[in-house]
Amino acid sequence: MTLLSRVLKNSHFSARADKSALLAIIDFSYQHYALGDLLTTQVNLATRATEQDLRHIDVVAMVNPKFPSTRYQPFITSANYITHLDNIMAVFMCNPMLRSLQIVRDVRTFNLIVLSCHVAGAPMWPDLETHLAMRQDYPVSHHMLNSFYARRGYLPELRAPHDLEAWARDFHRSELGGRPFAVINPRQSSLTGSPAVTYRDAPLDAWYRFLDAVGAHRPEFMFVMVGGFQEWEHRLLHRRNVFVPRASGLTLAHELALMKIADLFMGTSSGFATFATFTQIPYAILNVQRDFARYAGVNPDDRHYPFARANQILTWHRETTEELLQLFDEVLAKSADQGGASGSRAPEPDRANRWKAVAQ
Amino acid sequence: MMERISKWLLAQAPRWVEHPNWLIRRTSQLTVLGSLGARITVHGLGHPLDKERDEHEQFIESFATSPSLRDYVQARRPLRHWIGVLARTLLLLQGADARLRELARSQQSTFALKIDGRLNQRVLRNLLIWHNHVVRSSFDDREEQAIDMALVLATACGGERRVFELISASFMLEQVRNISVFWGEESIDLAVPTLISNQASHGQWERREACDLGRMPIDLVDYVTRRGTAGGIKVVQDARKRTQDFFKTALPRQVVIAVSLKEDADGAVDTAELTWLLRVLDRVVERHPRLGFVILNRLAPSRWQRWPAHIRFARHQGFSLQDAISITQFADGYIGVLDIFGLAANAAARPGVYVPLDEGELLAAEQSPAVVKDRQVMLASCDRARIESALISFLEDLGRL
Repeated sequence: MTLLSRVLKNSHFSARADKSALLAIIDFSYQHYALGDLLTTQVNLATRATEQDLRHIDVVAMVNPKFPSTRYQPFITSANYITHLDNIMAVFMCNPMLRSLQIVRDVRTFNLIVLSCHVAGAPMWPDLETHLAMRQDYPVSHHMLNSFYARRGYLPELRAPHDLEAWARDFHRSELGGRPFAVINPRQSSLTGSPAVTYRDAPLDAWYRFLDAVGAHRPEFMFVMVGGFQEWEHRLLHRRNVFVPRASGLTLAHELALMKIADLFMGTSSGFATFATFTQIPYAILNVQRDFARYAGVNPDDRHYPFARANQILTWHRETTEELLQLFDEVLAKSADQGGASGSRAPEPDRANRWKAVAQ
Repeated sequence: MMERISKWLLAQAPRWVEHPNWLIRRTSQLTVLGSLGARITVHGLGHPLDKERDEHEQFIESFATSPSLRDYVQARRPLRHWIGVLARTLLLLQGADARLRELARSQQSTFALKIDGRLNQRVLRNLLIWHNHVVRSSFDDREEQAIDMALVLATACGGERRVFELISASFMLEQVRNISVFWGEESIDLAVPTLISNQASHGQWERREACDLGRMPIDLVDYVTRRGTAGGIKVVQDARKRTQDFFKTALPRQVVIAVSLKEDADGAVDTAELTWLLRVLDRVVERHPRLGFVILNRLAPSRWQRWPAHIRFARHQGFSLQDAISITQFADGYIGVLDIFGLAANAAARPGVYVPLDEGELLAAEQSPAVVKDRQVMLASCDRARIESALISFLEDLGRL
């Protein structure tokens, strides 16, 4: 970096940057368009900023239209990157310390921002050396978060995308009739245009039986299915207790806002599960990959992340209807025990035994 | 002498850096980057270059998009990695240097847009009016100059629910390159690190007073409402594909008419308007069953019902705002208000009946319909009787296709 110092000495310029804010660089030439990893990154950024006593985060998302993605996402090309970028915009606005968001498509502008920040000595993530080396490990680990939690006893929480939590409350009241609801996301990569690791897809028949069983005994309870428009079967819409936001023209931003106020989340370990992980919503995250344990700082089969509450549960295998019903009850019961649950979250007595009969 | 040699080498460089021989190619690439580094080290950043040298150096930027550079940078072998990082460092300097020269040359490339109040259908429409009629008029040479756009959300009054739609639409504007969103005006200067000239107060964010997207000049809105607009939208390629697939599968062999109506604050269609329009369309479709209608607005879930076969709700079939804008550009016609969908259809010269979004925005109470382009009826009135008459006449013509 002596070259940079030399250059700046000879220049007639001085650098200006706000040292009370963290400049976060998301450069998609080596970082992924991935809901879960980007959400974890937002929490990592917030912990980093908090540790450094910074007040804000300014996000710069860089996409070079000629080089829009990493080698691991070759399906994102110059012809379609805008669709992918548009789809993940909401993620940045979940950052609890966000002050500004810049979407840069011009390399020159981007380089000037990065250089200025570095020369001014302002906080930046990743640091210049890491950025120049195009280093970003995936999946994004929880190590920094775990140590932050160990020291401080809390984690920064993801918020609903800007201004949409109030929308979600209005929508819940007016369109969902104020009914208690769970957000669900059984993974179905095989239904998407770029299927990957399809053996991790959720067993939909087990889910349908679960939804019908709950519908039979708690007809007031709603299930809000989140995920891309392709990622669910049409049969889901036959059910009266299921609402699919994407089938009503809503977007990822709306889904995340609804998650923020939901009674619980149940779904495969993936992007939406990551949002649940970093909020206070009670959850059952299903079929977590055993390989992920080392990135999360837990052991396979552990039931909780180190920073999770009692009503935030992990499983490490494919789910069955019976297990879904038990988890549904358990999460709601633990929420009621913690006193954070509304009346609608409270399970009925003897539910567990009755589920067995229903599921069979 | 050295200057002349250096210029000559740069002029030859584009051929050598693509040479099939690995050794020649890599040596040339390093030489080019080295010469660039030497120039910047000697003269400093932002040093003005003559046009010829400036053009010669531009090809260096293509290195930044080279997959092999990424391979070098991410290589495990230390030498390859080190060479890659060095090249990235020089490219970083080159980019910053070029941007500083660009800023010194250009009058204005960053436009600040303020949104003080609710972000609604009118603000989305004004975005395209601003792009097509304010930005373009600010450049003397009529060239399609790329611009940067800074959206300043002035108040946190609960009116920003649709900020994502504003960003989505901005991605489709032809001249817009970089898009920034700031919460509060005071954060603009703080949030963007930059280099400032020691001689003059010169920065990246030199700009005129912010334009308020909620309050466009009434004469401009009046002009566009009566005469329409042209161009301004760059359709995303995969959105075009989805649009054509949709037309072929959802409305096969139909003459497709895109429809947009007034919306509520959250972007859901005004149901009274929809009910009225559907009654009109039902009568027309009885005579012309080949007509099919794609409604581009969202419908509140509680309003969902079984719809006749000639009605489709694109946003409920997995289409994004960008896809819906794309639909307006490829449909056979358009009927509805002059919101962002209406303007996009109008800009693509789609035949249609275009109704003011708000009659109160018109300057004079001139009521006569004005046909300003072939088969584009620009109604300067929100009177339902007049709209119905224009719609029926237009659809009868289209139905005979």
